[in-house]
Amino acid sequence: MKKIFFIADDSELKGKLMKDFVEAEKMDVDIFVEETAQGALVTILTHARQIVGAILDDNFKGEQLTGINLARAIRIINPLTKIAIVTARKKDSPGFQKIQKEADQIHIETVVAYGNSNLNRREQMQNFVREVHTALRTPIDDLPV
Amino acid sequence: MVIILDGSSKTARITIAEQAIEAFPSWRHLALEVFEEAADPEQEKDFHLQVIKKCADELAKTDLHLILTMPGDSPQHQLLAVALQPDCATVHLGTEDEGAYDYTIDTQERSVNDVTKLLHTIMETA
Repeated sequence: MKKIFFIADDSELKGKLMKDFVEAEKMDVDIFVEETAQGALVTILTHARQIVGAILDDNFKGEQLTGINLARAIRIINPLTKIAIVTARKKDSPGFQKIQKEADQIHIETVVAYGNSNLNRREQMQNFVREVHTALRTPIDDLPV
Repeated sequence: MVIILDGSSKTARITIAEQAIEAFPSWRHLALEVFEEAADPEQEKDFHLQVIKKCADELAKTDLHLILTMPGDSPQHQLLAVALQPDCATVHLGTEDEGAYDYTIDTQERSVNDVTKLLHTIMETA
């Protein structure tokens, strides 16, 4: 089964940016992009064992399911997936702290705040993709525990 | 095709389903508990049905099949069994039946091997 890098974000532009970047990094993985939380959940439930890295928006317009819900589903099925949650909330806001706390509880690798600029956000997400890519190419015995 | 496997313990169901999909590469396993733990409990009841139906449809597009495991007392069993028709078989692990299932395995009288054999027989027909 081919490995998958998964992006769930209701911003079409952000999904496309990350898809382009993953492709540019020439990772030997398929890239799945979902713009709705329900669609993302279906992808997770049917493909979670193949998902090596996931970037999940923290919330989706008009939907109750959140990025944390999606992350929890991935974690239960595939504990090895590296997960990043992206949020528009500022790092010092109570909303961000709440997401960070929930993320810590389910051992999410990264929570990306938008920060002060799109560049900052994009760099953080790209760093995460590189981190997943590096882990994929590292023999499992050499991975830090 | 979808097989709904319910009854017995969570561990038993999951072990049996995982063994079955190892033998049949075109099958996937989804435990209802995983979905319920991940999703918001205040979601509309229809939401569970919609998502599971979509999962089955998505897998079917690529000629994949699904074993859905759930507790024996799940109120969603009948709704799912109806929603997933016509290509759905229901298997119950336990003694009580009342005609609600296509197959019932009495786990006090029968072994895990019997369950596995039955599942393989159904899966071969998909």
